Amino acid sequence: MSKIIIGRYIPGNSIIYKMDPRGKIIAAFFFIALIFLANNWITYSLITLFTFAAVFATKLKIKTFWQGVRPLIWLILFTSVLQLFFTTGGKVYWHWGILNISHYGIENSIYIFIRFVMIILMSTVLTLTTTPLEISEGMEWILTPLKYLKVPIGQIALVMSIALRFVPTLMDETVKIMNAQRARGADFNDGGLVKRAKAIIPILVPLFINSLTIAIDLAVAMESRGYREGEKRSRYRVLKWSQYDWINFAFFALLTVLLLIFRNH
Amino acid sequence: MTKQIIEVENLSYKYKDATDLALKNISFKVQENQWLSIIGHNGSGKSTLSRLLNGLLVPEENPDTKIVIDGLELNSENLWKIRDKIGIVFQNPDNQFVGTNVQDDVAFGLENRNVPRSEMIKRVDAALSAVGMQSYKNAEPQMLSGGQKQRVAIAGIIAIEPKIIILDESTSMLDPEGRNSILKLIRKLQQQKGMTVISITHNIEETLHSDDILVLDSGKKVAQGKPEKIFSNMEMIKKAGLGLPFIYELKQELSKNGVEIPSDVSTEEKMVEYLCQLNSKM
Ligand SMILES: Nc1ncnc2c1ncn2[C@@H]1O[C@H](COP(=O)(O)OP(=O)(O)OP(=O)(O)O)[C@@H](O)[C@H]1O
Ligand SMILES: [Mg+2]
Repeated sequence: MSKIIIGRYIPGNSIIYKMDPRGKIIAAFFFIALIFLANNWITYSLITLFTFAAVFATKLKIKTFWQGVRPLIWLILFTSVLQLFFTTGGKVYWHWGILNISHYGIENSIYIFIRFVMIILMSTVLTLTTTPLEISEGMEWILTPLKYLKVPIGQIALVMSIALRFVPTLMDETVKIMNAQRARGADFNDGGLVKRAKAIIPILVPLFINSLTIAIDLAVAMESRGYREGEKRSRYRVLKWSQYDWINFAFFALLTVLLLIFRNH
Repeated sequence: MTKQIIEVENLSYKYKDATDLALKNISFKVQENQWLSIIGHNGSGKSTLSRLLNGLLVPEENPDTKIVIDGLELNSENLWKIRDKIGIVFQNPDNQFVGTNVQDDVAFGLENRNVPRSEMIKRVDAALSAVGMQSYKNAEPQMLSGGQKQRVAIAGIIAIEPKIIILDESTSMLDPEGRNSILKLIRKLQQQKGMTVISITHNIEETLHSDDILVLDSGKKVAQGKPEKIFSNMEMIKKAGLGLPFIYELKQELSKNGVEIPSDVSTEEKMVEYLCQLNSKM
């Protein structure tokens, strides 16, 4: 149980793993903006090719990416189908009442489909290759300007890292409590939804109390080790840019240029 | 000449929502580089006392109360200087692990003190090798055993180079082997770095090797002295709800049977030697 992977990170060592989380997060956001530059077959193909290149560069199994898309596939299909039937314009191939299938409708629904899937794939590339802690540290750096608005970024980041650190501990705690309840005859696997939901409560209450105990102990230990709220602290963990990040940015620059050229064709 | 590193006078403490005092008018002194054991039954005030020493708890205002650590009086002005001098290792190794991995955790105290990164790297490495955990630098807490986590906690303390290390039942969750290796490690640090050790423990055998023992009973100090002196006062030990170490138990049984053992026979080895001599004389 303690081997549980937090978030969706899967350890690996391809080039994308070596990139700085800050660069990866910025690139992922930039990618979402870029997608809206695409407006024809060529540009959408470029986006698709680029995304697949990124997916292959992770050297992870394609199946894991499918697992990222699968939960949303119905929503995506539903949206695409709506586009298909309600968009008008161009040659009309079929129509019935307010529904029709037109040339634009077909095109738009495919574009929407591609857009959704590519955004999901790209963010999956980010979350599979970056630990939650790295993402939190990357976000901290990106949000640094908020310091000038008196947002306590450093404290928020510390809270995040401690929360992430305690996820496995609380998982273990949950297992312990569940086993203790099982030993007293609780059954978590049988019965209807209501019965199972009820069985959760005796787990949640002790879990909540235990996490409070942990929080109090931790606060005492932190203070005893010299933690002072709001005081300037130095940093042991630092993020470092590497040549891989420049490669990353270069590819994105190239994609941007290509999109700008071909969108007017 | 040894220097006095801790001086406590007339210290009382009451928790906010409690009716009784948790500590009643405690005074004691500790010499530098000594090993002081604090013993007492559950709820006798041991943890409370240790938390008062570094200002985690603050006693009520009282002109007679005084806590002096390494020449500095504990007050809001000196609080952080005093926290640099005292490191506490708590009982539960999980709930004091702040960092996401071993080296981050050891660095936590240094980050709090705004130590430059280059200096931190050196001190984290040194502290980890002092506790024999350098090969676990990148390990996450859930991959470590209780004893290993406790070593990391100790590394986090020695990285800030305190003069005093307080162990609040730090070894109670460990198996005998884990406990012995941690105690050996602390003893080594005490000798090499001249640290003062305060060890709070329910393991009475552990206290035999200390220089000084402080006995608490329901918030009161009932005795302080060398192990020989403390454990020869049977009545006091019993009243404080404590047991005797095996060797003193043995002495007592022997004396009941008319074999008096001199008081300087205070360890198992000495006892074996003495009994063998006795045997050969008979
Ligand atoms: N946070 C608190 N609030 C109220 N009372 C407390 C609190 N912590 C401890 N006490 C009380 O203070 C007294 C001393 O507690 P303390 O934890 O110092 O004992 P201890 O000697 O460390 O015991 P143990 O051997 O069980 O660790 C006890 O009576 C306890 O109930
Ligand atoms: Mg205690």
